[in-house]
Amino acid sequence: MTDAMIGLVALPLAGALATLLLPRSATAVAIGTGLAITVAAGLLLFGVATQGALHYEIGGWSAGLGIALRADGLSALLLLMTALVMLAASVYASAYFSTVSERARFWPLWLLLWTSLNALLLSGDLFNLYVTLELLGLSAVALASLGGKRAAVAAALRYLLVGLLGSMMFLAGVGLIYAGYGTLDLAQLALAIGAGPVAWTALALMTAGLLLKTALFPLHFWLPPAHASASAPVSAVLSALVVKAAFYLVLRLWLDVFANVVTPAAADLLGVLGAGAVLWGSWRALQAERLKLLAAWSTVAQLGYLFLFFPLLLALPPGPARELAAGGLVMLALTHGFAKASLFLAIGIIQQRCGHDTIRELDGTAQRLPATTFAIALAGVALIGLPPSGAFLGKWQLLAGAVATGQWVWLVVTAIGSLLAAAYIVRVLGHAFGHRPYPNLPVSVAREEWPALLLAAMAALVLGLAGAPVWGLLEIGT
Amino acid sequence: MNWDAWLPVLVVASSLLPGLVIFFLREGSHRLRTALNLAGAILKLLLVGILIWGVFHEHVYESRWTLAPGLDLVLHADTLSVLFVTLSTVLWLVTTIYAIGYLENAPHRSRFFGFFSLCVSATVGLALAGNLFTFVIFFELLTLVTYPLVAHRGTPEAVRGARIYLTYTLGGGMLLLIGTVWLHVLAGPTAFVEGGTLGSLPAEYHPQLKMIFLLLIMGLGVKAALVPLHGWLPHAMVAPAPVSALLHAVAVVKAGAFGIVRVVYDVYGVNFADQLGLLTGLGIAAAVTIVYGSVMALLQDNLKKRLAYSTVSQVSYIALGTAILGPIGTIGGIVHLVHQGIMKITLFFAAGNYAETLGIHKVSEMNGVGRRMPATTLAFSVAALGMIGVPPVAGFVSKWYLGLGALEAGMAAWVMPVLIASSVLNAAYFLPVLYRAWFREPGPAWPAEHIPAARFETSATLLWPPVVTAMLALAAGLFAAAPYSPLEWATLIAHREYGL
Amino acid sequence: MNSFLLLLVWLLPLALALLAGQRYASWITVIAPLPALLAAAAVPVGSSVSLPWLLLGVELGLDDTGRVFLLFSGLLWLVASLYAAGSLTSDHMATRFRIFFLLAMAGNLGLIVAQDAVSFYLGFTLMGLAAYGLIAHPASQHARRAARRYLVWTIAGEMLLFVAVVMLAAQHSGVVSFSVLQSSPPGGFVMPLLLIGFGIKLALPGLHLWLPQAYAVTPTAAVAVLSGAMIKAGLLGWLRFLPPGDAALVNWGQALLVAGITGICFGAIAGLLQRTPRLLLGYSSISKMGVLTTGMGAALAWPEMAPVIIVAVVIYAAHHALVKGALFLGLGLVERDGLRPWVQAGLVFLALSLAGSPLTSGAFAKSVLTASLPQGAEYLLFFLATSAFATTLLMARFLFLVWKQRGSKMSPLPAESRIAWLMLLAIIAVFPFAIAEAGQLMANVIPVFLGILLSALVLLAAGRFPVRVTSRSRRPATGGLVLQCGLAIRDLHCRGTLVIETVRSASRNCYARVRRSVEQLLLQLCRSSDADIRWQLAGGLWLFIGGLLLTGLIFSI
Repeated sequence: MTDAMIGLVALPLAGALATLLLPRSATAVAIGTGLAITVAAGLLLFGVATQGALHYEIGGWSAGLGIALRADGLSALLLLMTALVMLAASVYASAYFSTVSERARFWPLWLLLWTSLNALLLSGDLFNLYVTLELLGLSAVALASLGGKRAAVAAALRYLLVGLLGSMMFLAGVGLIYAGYGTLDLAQLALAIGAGPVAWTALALMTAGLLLKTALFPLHFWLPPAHASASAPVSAVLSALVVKAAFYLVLRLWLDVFANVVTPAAADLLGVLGAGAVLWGSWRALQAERLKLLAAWSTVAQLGYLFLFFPLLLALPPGPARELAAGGLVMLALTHGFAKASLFLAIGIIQQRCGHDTIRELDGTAQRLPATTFAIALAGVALIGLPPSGAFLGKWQLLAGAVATGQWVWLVVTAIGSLLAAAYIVRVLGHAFGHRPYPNLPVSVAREEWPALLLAAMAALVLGLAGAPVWGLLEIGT
Repeated sequence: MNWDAWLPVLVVASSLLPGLVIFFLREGSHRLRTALNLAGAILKLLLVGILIWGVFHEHVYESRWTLAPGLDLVLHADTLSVLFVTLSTVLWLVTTIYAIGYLENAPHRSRFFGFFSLCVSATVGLALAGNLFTFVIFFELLTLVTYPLVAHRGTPEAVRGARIYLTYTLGGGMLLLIGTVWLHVLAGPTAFVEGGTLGSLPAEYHPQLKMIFLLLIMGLGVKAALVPLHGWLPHAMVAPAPVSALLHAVAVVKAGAFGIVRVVYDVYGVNFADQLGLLTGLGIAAAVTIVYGSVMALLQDNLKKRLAYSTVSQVSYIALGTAILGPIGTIGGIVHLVHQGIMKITLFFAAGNYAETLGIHKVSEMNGVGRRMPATTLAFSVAALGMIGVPPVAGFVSKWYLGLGALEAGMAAWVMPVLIASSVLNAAYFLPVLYRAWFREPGPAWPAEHIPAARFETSATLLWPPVVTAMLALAAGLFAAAPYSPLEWATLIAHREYGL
Repeated sequence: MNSFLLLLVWLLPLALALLAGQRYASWITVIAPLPALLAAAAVPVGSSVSLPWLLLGVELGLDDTGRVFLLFSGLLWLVASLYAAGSLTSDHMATRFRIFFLLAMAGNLGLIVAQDAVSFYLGFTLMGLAAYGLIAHPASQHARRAARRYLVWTIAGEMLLFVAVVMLAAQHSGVVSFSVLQSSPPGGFVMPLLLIGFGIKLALPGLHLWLPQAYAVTPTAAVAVLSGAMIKAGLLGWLRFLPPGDAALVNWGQALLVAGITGICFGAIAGLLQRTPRLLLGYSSISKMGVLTTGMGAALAWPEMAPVIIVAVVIYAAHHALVKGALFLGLGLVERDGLRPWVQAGLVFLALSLAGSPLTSGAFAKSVLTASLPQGAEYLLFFLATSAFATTLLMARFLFLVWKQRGSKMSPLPAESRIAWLMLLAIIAVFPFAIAEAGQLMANVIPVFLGILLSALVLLAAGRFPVRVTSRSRRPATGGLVLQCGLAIRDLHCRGTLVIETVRSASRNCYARVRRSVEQLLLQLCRSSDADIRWQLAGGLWLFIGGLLLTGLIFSI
């Protein structure tokens, strides 16, 4: 199973090089690589489920000097989600980019992004995390600017600056930690660290950097333009995975590494910011005039939900209740990943077919693009958090946690956020169902529509109905 | 896996799978779609037949599927669920036939029938839900799959109606969800058990339980159209007639009412709910709704709107029956679940026939329609008289038991006036319609005659469903005391609930 | 067989209602009431059939009361059917009429054989609602208004009865069989609900507002059964629901007595003010229902005598049903055929019968009723006599109005209709001789004679002093008592200020002025030429005299 871990990093890297060398058959190579990575991710999840957490030191060099890969339930799950979303987006991108030159520029960066994502999720020490985070940020910026339009480039530059700022802060925190404890290995740190000025400062620095990268309210200002102006597959991945990677780090740090350091007050702060994100993001999504902006603001809101879990997780006593809540958090994150990717892909289809993504002029989409509309609806179900989506189970745990710990305010925020989410989704669907006498167009290219549809089904059906193993997997820690 | 565990799943799947397949059919494959629909409906009917037999002989049918630790999706057949499942199944079959005729040559039939089947699947799932969690899931699913049906026509009005519908029901769903989560935290998984399970909780939980009850009833009340949560219903009537029929008779509105029954009887337990003082509030809400809905119906000229407000009023009979302590009131409420469904679906079918055949949408256009469409108008009349509570149509039996139950529970002082006021108002808004239809001379031309009178007054697929359901409504009242009648089944339920 | 026949009593009309649209349907209404007659004749009293699976458990049966009701109702329905069969054409209107006719028949006959409260209520409702279709049958504004008014009252009555029946059922733990219900007196609000609920059907004064207009518009065949058979369902309701001979209900009996007596007087007075025969017959029905109500009140007020009184009341009901039905059918003949001598003769006979003159069914019914009254109820005899007297006047005016209305032969009726009427006439003429003793047929001589005398006097007086009509004073031919009285007063005031002057002067005991005024009044009368208005005045005068008479009678007791 350790082969799978290596493969997850090596395969996309090799694929990136191959596409660079063979621009003409880049698409085929990329899809093939994607398939291989997905298989590897599946194998890894299977391995983790059967053998427990995995650990591998490249070249046999131990931690401290060498590069160690590790995978537990959480990272295996996220890896698989990454693989599936990336694969689907790849299939979509293969149809989306029509010219060879576009493809030649796109695929290497795309696979590099994949590499950095996988590496980040598999990294076991802070320095590697920093490196992969930086790599991720850079490849993401490059992808975002691919469109070449002025707005896209401007947004991408802003994105770049923000990403660098965040990375620097993270690096500062890492430096502090190394100075204070002499190790960067997460497992060792978790044992060594205790509450104190160094730990507090380091955690604060790293968290601040990551919050910036994960675009938590009110540090979200860069996200909507960046995500909304990128090309569809890139937006999908940025919203679904890249911000999620930074969030993954926050989760790791707060719950695993710095578990002894964090205080309820700090968690409450994250909760408050999350609440702000939920309300403000949803509200802005409701106001958005373009579909892509709507989706981007929705991402801001959805990330807010994830942060609402922090005060609950800290208030709940360690034990089954907390495990349940943590599982809910991961479930919500997974669902959002699939759903948001699906939404962006679907929006891409609409944008290409209709030539625009102005919500007010979407009338008749349901007739022209039934499968796409259906995908949007399914993704919407997941975003709202309705059954049978995974988000429903996640929100259930969020609400249950809020009730159990008596923190009613999060409950209210969740309720309002969900209703706002419903409102912005319905707004889109209402227009889509609107009647306009279009001539019946031929059925869209399956290659474009299927990925969005399958991702949406994954979020809205599979995770919700067959998501129970997630809780079991999460118990497989390091 | 044994048969008993699979049966509830099969009952749900028998409409779910055809529905999913239908989505992928081409618009033109009319025959295949019809065959799938009917095969599903008939298969479901057979399965439900087995279910009825089994539940009557105290078989346990239960399917369980874990969604998350501590959260199980449970499908369980008890007497109450079987009643609702049977109602849904029978009316689905009829409505499907009707819809096939109604949507002939209309666009987007695959989409329509796909969601239609999903809608019934959700209703049946909701009926078979074995715990509150499962109920909530299907309740929300029902909201989702009915939205495209309401918006089906795609006119601005339809889209607006659908949006209002969704706003209300999702809001209600959120309240229900919060209440359910709260209850779950407090009492663990709340399975539906006859007689309720919460009575054993310690007394310090009681204030919380009252709050939860309020949340649950408000959440369910949106779908059940309790005043002031009924605002969506008159707007949702823009849907095509078969959808309105199903929405008002079985699916949405009834789901809310069914949920209220479930919460009172099988979660709280009616005695415990009474002990907490919750029934009076519910009863007053129901009473206000009954009168309010009737008064509003009186003011409508649009036929379907009138029927919609009538639904607001009639469905609250169920809540009223629930609020009446004692087996007889319970029988009245539960049996009305069935009776209202059969009668209201007839009314909507007939209204659809008028609109589809002659372009009649308003009461004021109905002059002399009884001569042009006698069978439809006869069906309409039977159902309308039933709504008023005229014997021997089914509505009389409901009213009889509600009145008797109220007297036995000592609540007659306010229940009786409400029943009478409602009956009078029902008469006031239904009889003028009948008068116009039967006694007025028709105008020179109908608003828009789509289907000429040939062998039948309209196409056969439109004609038979209302006739059949009207006959069912008549039979349900006439043979109320016969074995396996809705009344007998409701009696069985009440006896099991009260442990008699 | 017996049980089958009881079922058929209401099943056959219902089943035939399904066929009412067929081509040869005009005769099916005639078949429909046959099982009822057959059952009344052949099914032994006490037979019953229980159908526990039907409705809430249906019990049918036949007792003595039911038998009489079934007999006269069935007979009336048969005759009316026959009458209608010929007179109806075969268009959609006729189909609709037949359907409602058969439904009302099923309800009426069904409630007679019902032996439990719910089936009775079912029949009562079916009859009440189906009758709406009969009243609303003519396509006129008038009919629509009358029918709506009828419906409002009927539904109000049915609601009250629903509550009463449910309360009764609750009182007897859900059992609705009459045998159980009659075991104890109704408690709480049930009594007033029952009295008012059925009182609406019986057109008690104050609850009668639906009746005159309905009678004015309903087609002849329908109004015959409406006034003859259906109205009696209210009485049967009382007989079924109220336990006879229960001492607890004495006070309610007194109340009914008051209501009944009021009905007698009110119906008579209001009837005399009417200007169309149909309205007059309507008020006459109110008056006669007052007699039945009085009888019912007496049965409740003197519990020990109840069985006897009830028999008398039932006989009186049968008499009134047949005669009133026949009067309406005869009126129908006049309306369509013109006033032929033999019809006129028949009507005179019927009028005498209704008035209760000797050798008619009226005399028989009256004498049975009189004989049944117990000790202490003698004062009721005054009112019964008053009723006979008033009815005589009413009938005289009826005959006059009919005579006045004679004329245009619009659309002659076919032979069936005439045969039907003559058949009924024969039955009315013969049946008292078949069952009564000789003495019973000689009752009522004095009041009827007085009535005829007074009528003749009024007729003569009016003939000599006709009143002139001004255009302003034309008033609608229809209207309730209040309206009629108001209009009468207005007429008197506008057209005959001198009449008012006369009354005022008389009250001042100034003989000379009285005489001068009377002279002026007579002068005024002489100047006018419209016979109609003469009768108006005559009616007014009679009203005054009658009122004095009544006051005197009441104060003398």
